[in-house]
Amino acid sequence: MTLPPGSSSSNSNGNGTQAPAGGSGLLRYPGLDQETRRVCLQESEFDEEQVVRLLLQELHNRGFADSFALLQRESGYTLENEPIAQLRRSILGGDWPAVEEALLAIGLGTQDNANDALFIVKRQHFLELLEARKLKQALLVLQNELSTLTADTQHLHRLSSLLMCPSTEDLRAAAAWDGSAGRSRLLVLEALQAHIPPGKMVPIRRMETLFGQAIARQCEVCRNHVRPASRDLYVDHACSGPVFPQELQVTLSGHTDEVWYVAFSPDGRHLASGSRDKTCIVWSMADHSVVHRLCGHSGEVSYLAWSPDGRYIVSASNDKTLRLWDAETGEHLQTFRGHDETVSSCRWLGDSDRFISGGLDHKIIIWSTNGTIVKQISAPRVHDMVASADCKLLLVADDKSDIHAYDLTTLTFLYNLEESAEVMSLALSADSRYCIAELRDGELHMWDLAARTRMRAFSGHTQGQFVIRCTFAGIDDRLVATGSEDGMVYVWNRATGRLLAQLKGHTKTINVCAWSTPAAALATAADDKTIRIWPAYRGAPSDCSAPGHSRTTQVAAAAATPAASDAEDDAESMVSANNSLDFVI
Amino acid sequence: MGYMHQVFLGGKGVFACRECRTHVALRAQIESRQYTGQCGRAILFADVVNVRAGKEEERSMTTGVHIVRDIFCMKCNKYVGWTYIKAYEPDQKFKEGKFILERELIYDAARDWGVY
Repeated sequence: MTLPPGSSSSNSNGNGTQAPAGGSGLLRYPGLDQETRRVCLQESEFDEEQVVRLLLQELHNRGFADSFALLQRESGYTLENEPIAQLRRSILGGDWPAVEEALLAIGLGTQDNANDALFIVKRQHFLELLEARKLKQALLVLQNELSTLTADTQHLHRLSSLLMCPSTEDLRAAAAWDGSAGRSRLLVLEALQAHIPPGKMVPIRRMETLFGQAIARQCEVCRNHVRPASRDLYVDHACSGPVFPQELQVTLSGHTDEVWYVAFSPDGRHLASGSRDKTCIVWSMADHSVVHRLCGHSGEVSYLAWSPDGRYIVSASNDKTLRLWDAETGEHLQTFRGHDETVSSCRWLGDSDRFISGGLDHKIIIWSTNGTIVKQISAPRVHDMVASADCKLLLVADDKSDIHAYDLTTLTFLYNLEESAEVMSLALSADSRYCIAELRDGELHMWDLAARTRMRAFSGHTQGQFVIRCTFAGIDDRLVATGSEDGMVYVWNRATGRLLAQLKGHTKTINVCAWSTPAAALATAADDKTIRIWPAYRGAPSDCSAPGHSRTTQVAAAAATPAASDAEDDAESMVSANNSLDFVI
Repeated sequence: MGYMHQVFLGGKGVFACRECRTHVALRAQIESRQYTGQCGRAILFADVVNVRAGKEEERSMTTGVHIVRDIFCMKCNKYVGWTYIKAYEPDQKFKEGKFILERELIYDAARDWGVY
């Protein structure tokens, strides 16, 4: 909205010097006649009350008490009327009868809605009574009040089982509740918000939420999004400069046969590669020299994994064994025998003491680094495995077209994701929420593991009988990169599915892509016996002032985005916005 | 050539590499047994697994000139046969994309049991 000249000074000063100037009408557009004022107001598409109340909320959150009071007086709008303020006070103070009164005064519409809201309040009351060890009163609340408010008997059973908790610690753990002194009352307030008309109670940090959504949207329509958005509210976010990572930095030659696997060390300072020549090489990312050559496998090396502390490398081979190497000295520490067929994948389990391997022999084995088997299960023939960052979930691609999810702590089967073709390899995003399955029919499918739904397909590259290992790449895993049998690296925008780049350099089939955020680079390895490093563009976090990148190009980009993906991405950004649990108003 | 996941075939009539017993084909995929290779009898299969193909080359055969690629067991790299990329004679076109495995170089669990 264009502010008339003169008004900005009173805004930015904010010291209230102009407050006594008179009635509210004069203050809003000082120095303007009635007609100009009317035009200015018409320019805004948004309801004045809503805008002012958002401003009030923001002023309140930022502690501008005087301006808050002044704006309330000046505009005639209040952030919250008395019942809402009463509700907030009594919830935070734990005065449950007063909460009930306040809810009645606010008016919650339908009976169901009112019951749901009351249930939230009563549940908190019940838990707090339990916490205070007032079991008799708690039981009364459960029997007389909670039970009348819901038909969900299972929930009631769960609540009644809490009566058995011997201590408050047990209670908190069993109810996933952090006690009256914790954030639980704020959570109650937040939960109630869904049942109170937003016109009466402005959702918490509404303006920040809107800003966050705006920036998230700008990132989505940013055509070549490679760098994180700054929190700049003055200009739209737009990445400029070269498309990630266009330039080939260096070619690593040292293997005498096809390179089948590469993996960056956790700190990004080293790269390990496994080859058909039966060796692994540890490379320095600083000068791109060979640090160690790990020889010993009698079969081709098709998989590698760095321990989380970067001290060890475990390699999996077609010789049916795994070998543990000291990454610093290059020394061979241990050989792990237990698989009866090719070991197809291995992953570390968080603590650098144990790792897990899967083979084509229907076995998944958890090993201790001292060489013993910790646990072993029979499973489908394993094509590839990925473990979530918290080491709770294991995804296993079998030799058919299914992805099996296991609880990694107990190695019990959880669920199945059905794919449309044979799954050649898997990749997991850093937040462990999204998984990519690379399929034999030449498509990459991205799954949302939280919703267990297939979100998007990426295609364009050539894939037939050979395993190509893809990766999430770029800032916040916003890109998807994979190799191709045509010797090019394909890079897509994860959010839109748009092909951003085809990187030329390799001369034969590319077998694997690996991304490292600390190294800010993509590594690719191919049948041409080389590994190539493609650095991400490094510069300012976000450059919005690039010539030619104006608002209009942003709008055009938005219009060009496919509608279907928009809907999903909106949902995604909404979720991330809601995840920020902040307990200001 | 790239890394391949080894395929395991199920059921009866599995042919394997004679050298390392890696599965290569199913009897159900046989199109004809009336072929001859470098080591004697050979079989035409519609599809095979676990093989890597070598370089394309033009080869003169009894049925005319063909462009073929020799195929090797992916595990032990032993030569097992060839695949037809292109047939020049119109009546030989049906062989394109199909595979020859030399009978002497593959193992038929049902027949060769106890022999080797």
